[in-house]
Amino acid sequence: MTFEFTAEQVLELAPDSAAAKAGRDLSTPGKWKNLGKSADGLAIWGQCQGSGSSPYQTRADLNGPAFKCSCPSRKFPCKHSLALMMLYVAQGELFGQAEIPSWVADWLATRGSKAKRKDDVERTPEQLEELLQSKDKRKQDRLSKIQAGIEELELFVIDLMRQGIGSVKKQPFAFWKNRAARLVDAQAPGLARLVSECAEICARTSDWENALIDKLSTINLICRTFLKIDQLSPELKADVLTAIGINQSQEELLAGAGHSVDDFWLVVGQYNYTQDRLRVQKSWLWGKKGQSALVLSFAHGNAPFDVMLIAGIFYQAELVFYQGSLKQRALIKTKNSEPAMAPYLEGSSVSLALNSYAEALAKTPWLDTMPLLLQKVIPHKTKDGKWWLIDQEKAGLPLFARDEVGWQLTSYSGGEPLSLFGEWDGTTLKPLSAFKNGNYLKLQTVEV
Amino acid sequence: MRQAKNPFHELTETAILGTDRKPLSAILSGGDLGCTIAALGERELPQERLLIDQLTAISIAKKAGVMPGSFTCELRACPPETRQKVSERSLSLLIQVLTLEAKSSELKHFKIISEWLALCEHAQQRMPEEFVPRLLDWGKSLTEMHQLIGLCCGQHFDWLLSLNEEWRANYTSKQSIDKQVLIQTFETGEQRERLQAFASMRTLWPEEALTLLSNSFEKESFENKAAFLKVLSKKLQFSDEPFLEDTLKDRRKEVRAQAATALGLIPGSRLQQRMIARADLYLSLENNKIAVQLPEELDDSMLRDGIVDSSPMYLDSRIGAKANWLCQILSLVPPSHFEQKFGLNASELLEAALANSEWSLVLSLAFMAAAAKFGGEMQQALLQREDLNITDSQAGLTLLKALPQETLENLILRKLPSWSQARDNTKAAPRLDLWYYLEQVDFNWSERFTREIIKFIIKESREKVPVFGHTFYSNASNFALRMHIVAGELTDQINIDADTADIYRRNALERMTDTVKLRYDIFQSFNNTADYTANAN
Repeated sequence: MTFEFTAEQVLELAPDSAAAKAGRDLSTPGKWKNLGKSADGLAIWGQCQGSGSSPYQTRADLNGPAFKCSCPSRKFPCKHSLALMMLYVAQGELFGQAEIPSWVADWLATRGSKAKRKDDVERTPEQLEELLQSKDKRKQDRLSKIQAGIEELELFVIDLMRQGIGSVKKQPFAFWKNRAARLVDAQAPGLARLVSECAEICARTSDWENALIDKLSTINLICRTFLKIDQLSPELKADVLTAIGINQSQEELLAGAGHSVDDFWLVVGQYNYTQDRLRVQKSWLWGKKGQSALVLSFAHGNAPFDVMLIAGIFYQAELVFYQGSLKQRALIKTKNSEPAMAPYLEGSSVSLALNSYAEALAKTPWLDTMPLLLQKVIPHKTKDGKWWLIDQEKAGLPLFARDEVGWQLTSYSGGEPLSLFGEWDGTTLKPLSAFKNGNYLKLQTVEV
Repeated sequence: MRQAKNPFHELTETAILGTDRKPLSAILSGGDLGCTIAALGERELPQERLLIDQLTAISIAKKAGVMPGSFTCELRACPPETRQKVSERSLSLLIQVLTLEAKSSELKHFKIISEWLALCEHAQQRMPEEFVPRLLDWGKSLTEMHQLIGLCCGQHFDWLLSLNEEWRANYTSKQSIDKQVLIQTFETGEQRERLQAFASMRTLWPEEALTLLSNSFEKESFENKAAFLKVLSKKLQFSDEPFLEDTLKDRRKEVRAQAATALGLIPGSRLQQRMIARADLYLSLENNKIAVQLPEELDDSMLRDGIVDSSPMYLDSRIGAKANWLCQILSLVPPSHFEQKFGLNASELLEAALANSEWSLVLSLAFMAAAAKFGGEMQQALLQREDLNITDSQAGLTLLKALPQETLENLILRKLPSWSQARDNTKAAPRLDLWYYLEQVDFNWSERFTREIIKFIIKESREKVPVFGHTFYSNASNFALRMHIVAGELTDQINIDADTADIYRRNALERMTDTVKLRYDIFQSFNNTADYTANAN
């Protein structure tokens, strides 16, 4: 089994540019000895002479990928792990099949047992009952707090309508931040985030009024829906709780509460951003059967993301979807990389994509963004400097793209139709990747 | 008649002004959305509540009802590419240089990318189309790279230029040199652009370039004047002499000095004749030794001819002001004049100059400066003298810089064994001279020269010579950029000892080897044949 990563995909795993550069510098055969790979091609290893007396033992599980190195670096993956992968990508022939050394076998075995250990916690029926009761109580307490917070927020919005949103343009950042903090206290972090975004909208120089009205409308809708939570369908109830910021239990979802789909999934779009000092990786997956899924991965500081996915790679995986009308966010239950599979997926025309967005809004009217996979579109810059995607029917969708990305897309298309994946927010499409002739191109995004 | 306002705009206005200032009015509008809005407004609720609910309905309706844009334009496709794309490895190395190495020096950046492009062109390959815009952005102001970039971008180059006005302006106007454009740039551009335009004019239309400069010269600042004269002196002709003679009347000594330097390079110029006449007064041959009479004062005619109080070229605690003036005069006289006057060949003339211990330093500095300008047999005579420390003075370094590549490389290789065989490893000083010499080799090193220098560095690193010296530390990356690509096969043998106490040495060696390896990796990634190795430099 061989994995067809590209050098760029490996570098995407680097925690920072310094690690990427150091990894690349180390990816020369002269720096390594005892390079090898397992008979199944899933594990690779090597020893790299560093500043210590004995060489560092570096190993990687390509079915992940996952890494382990004996160097003292706090970065993950460290430069040695990246270099090992880079060397494997560039000069795979250097890695002869060999018997797995004990320091690699032990690590692989530990990885397997760690996965099992998570399921090992066993409880008696009484303990379970007690656990459920206390959980229910906590949930009720939280809902009461949220209700109080929402009622206060509604008064705030009513006041805004009375005084006019024109009056808040000159308000300091703290005006919104303090309101958001009260919602955090009320344990409604999702609403707090939306209120914080109002501050950013007010800082804009143009078209802030309509954007603020849209944002306040979303907040109003979520609040009004929450206040009728007992009358909602289970899906809509899950949607509104998620919007407010109540997380669904991953253990419960994996244990069967979530809808699961087994398919070949392409990591079709991916970008990172920072939220409240937490690094977040947003990965959009698109299945061969046509379903899309959003996998969020989190990390603090230089720690690795809890889920490692490489953009442009197919995974054979079982995903478990969070409860909700749209079945958008998902967890990975099991996954294996699918080697050497050309990234090709069926997309839709602009009109069909907009129809599907309208249908999604009907189910979840506060929907923030929706993934769109468009096929046979050509990027085009109009005379007013705006970027558009034009499909075969000459229907166009506006792009939210810097010139750098627009020209990259244009050059990649060569004036011929290509497939494009991006996030549609109801106004513009943020392009994340493009496909042409079985090739995948990840587009650069600005970190939010 | 006043036109009825759009009810949705009415709601937005109310939201902006607030219900206190603009009370909510009943909405009368048709359609599903209009009915929904109207129905929402009929409830028995405070008007602020009604307003936000109505706005919410409109907000969702707007999102759900987005219509695609309609286009009629025909988009022209790029012609099919005929060249193969570069390999994944070549591409990733270029991206590394463009991104990860972006913080390194501009020179390094430029040199490595241009080398990459040359290899790409040699292999008849092309950039993958998705990276072409990035390359076009990188090279848009580097006129000398435009042709190579165009070739390496394949058909996408012209196609993208037809779509992007900025690239078209950058890449096409400079490909065909237009005299009027150059004149306009000279007249209205920034100083850097003006200098470039003047240099191009000077190459293609030298007479018109001179007229252009003469017309604007008086209005220029003294820094600009000196800069233009420097460009002018790169390719002098007899017809430049009147202008330069006129320039000697300038008030600023910096301008006069630059004009004098230029005039000194015109064979038989009036300035050269005046300098010869002066030099003849001060030098004579007595008992096979050159006797020196120093100028008594720096008179007006000398000042006019660009002689300055104290030229930095001859700044030395052992040389006084008058000797400094003399050096300036002698440096503008071809040494062959004295050879003829005294009936000596270059070696004999130098021997006669050095025989007078009182004036040997002054004369050797003056002859080195003159040999740098005029070449000739004096150049060889100076290089043959083992007792002259050429790198000890600015005049000597100027001489080294003026030498042809082969001569300088041979000189260094001839001296290399003496540096290699320094008896005491703890004394690094004799070796340090090598780095001063190498600093002057600012062209690409030949393969033979590179091999010998790398061997020397390998030996030094293995013998753990305690100090490589500041000149090596500060030039390590530049040396790596000038080396022949063959260096990449040898650098693994350099001992970069992690335990060494000299962290500067280790860092410098690492910088050097990293740069060489990067260049070598790029070279190998193109899988080039040996014939390119021969021509790589």
